[in-house]
Amino acid sequence: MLNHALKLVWNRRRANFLVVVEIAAAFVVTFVLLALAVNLWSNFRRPLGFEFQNIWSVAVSADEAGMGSFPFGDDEISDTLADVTARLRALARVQAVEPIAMPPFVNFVWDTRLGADADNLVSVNINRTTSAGLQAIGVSLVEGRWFSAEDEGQDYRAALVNRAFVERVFGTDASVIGRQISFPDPSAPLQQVPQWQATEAQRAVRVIGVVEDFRQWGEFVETRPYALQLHEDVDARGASFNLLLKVTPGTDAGFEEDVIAAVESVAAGWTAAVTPWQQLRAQTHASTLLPIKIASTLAVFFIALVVMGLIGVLWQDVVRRTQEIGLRRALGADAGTVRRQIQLEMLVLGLFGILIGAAVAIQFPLLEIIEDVDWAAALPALVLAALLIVSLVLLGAQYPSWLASRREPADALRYE
Amino acid sequence: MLGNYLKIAIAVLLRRKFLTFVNLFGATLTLTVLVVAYAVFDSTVRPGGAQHRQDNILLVNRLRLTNTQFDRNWGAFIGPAFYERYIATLETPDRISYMTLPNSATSYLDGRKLTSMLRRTDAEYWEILDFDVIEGRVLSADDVELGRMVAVINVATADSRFPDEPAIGRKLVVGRESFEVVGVVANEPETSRLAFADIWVPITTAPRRADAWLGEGQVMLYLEDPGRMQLAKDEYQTAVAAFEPVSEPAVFDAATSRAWTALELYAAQMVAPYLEEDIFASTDLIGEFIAAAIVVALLFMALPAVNMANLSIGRILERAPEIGLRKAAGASTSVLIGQFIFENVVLCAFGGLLAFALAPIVLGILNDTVYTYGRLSMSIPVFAAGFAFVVIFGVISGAYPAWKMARLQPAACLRGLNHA
Repeated sequence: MLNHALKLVWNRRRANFLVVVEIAAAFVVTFVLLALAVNLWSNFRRPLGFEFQNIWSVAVSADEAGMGSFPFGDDEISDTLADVTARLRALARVQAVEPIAMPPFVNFVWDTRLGADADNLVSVNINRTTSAGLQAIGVSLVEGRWFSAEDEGQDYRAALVNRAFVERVFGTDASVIGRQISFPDPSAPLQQVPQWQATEAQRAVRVIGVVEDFRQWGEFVETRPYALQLHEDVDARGASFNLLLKVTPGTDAGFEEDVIAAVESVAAGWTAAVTPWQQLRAQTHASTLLPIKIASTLAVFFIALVVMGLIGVLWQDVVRRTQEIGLRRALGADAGTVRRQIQLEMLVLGLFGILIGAAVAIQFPLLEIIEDVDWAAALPALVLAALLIVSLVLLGAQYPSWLASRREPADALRYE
Repeated sequence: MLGNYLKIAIAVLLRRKFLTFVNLFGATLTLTVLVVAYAVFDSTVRPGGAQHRQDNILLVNRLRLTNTQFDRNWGAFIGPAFYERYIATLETPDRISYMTLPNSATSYLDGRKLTSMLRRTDAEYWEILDFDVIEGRVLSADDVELGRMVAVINVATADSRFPDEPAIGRKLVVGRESFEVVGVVANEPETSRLAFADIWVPITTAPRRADAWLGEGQVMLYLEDPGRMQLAKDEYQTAVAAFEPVSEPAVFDAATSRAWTALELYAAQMVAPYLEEDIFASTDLIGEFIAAAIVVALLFMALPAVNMANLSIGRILERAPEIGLRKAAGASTSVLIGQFIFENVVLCAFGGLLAFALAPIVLGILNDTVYTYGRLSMSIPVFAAGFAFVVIFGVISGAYPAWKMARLQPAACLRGLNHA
């Protein structure tokens, strides 16, 4: 039966060519969207590594118009920042106030190249905060120790790295605690930059522990190698700072005003903006999902179009093959057999289309055309897309095959 | 002749209503999406409204300062020091305006959290852009010079802050600052990058750090004569190239910045990341952008075009006896192909008409949900682009069936043997 269908399809290959192209194109579109969806879903299911409920972001700016927010400040600013932090800690509903270089769910990116040795550096995302900050947001330590007072002002900068960092940089077997991961060049000419910057540039980064994860850009973004460095007093330079605030559960937006007032009461001329992390998360989710929603809406329409198109083509085909079908009926084939024949032919066409489509689709992961996708999702997406297309093709074959099976042998033979 | 063709075309389309529906569905869907995409693009490069003189405006909105010795770069927007020294001194532009980007500013009013976009501008800003003033006035040169705490607000802000009474003369609290409202202007959508804001106040109300080279400012250069744009761009490049090393607060010895037209900026933002081009230095990516847009549009049309071609081939084979008869009677292949393409274009044109009816609805939804104060609409260029899409789609979806049709053998057709 299958051989028979293959032969029929092959004999009509020129007529079927464009149908196969259409199925292949539909397959590629479905595959890409499913790969994105599977990728997002597998990202979403992985633990975020921290908690966002009841954590607020406080962006403090020493430069109120934002006209000169340039990353250099002076000692006076860091003193005032200490006053701000102390004042906020004194507020009744506040459980913790800690500096964090970049709050999560915001499009801040800070990356640098770190590695096991100077010749094997990989791109790593960085953030800076304190042990108290990490504990306040529920980051879990899986190996080593938290930052402690002994790490401040050393000739190294202490860092906690995530598991993805360990896997990427050291592999699975090595012990990572105490390893140096940055390699400053002592001969770099630094005489023209401020002293603190020159000192900073010569500090190596050293791993003191491993944390579960800290997925800065939220659940939808893949896990990347990440290093959380200790935020030290020397970092409190510049014109703007981010603090994380842990508030008691149930604190409402009205308290934001108190936080701002508290900042302004100790830092004349400074401004503060308060946003709950939950809100930042909702914003980033909305902007991630918007293009996906638009693309899936369009894809649904396109797939519907393809199914209707297949019904149309097959219908015309059946009408044109009236004689052939009539002859088969006259020779004793029952309605079910004719129906199965049409469906099987369509299935063969569909499989051809999927084969060609898969040959095209597999190029995306191979060529890494779409970079932001982890193509581990490619295989399940390939299977899902194939299943979807096969079922749609069979769905499209239902009506025409039924039509074919209803042909009366006499009518069909009278056709000529 | 064309009238007859039209009659035949409609008769053919009505004969197989389901197929015609599928074709119309595909054509309408494709053309609607393309028209909407074009309308979004058009609203960014030709925003209209307050920015209706866009063609006379160059924008400087990025600046990168470099320390060549350490190979270190700092990229940001324009700081006041850079503006005063290298941009305010340009001679070609007829007007130069310095303003900040809209920054979000939060105020708390009776326990409500209000977030507004606040833009600080100079007085020239209001000369270059042509806001629709609903009440009161815009910011004057005096306001800016004296640093008066006055504000112009848009209609949306006036409605939410002062719902029942006139806004003029009222006190407006933004963050810690408080301004007197002097004017209300029409809402400008966020796609109008230069005009968009909720609240506008004089740039001098912020104690600015005049020594900052990098900051959050951007600059409009206005030329009465758009023909002098290249001259202004060149003059700016000369000024940037003559950047003198500064040692405060850090060591910079080179600057990179460009004056852009709206299209140049849009094109650069769209394609520079993919081409790994330097967005601070490249302005001439329009060609690359158009090429990319054409490829994307063609890829997008491919699937529905193949779908349509499939159904057309079926339709042609169904009409093979008619075609065979006409061929046998001496009709040339080109006449038959012309007739078929015409039928296909009629179908696409119906799809286009439906798309023109549907696109405003989709744009309305986008205006209400995606774009703040959205003003996407069907304009003449959007219609023109829509017609171009119809023709291109008609040709793509009609070419292959027409070729197949030309190869039909009259004798075989008449005998009813159509092995396509």
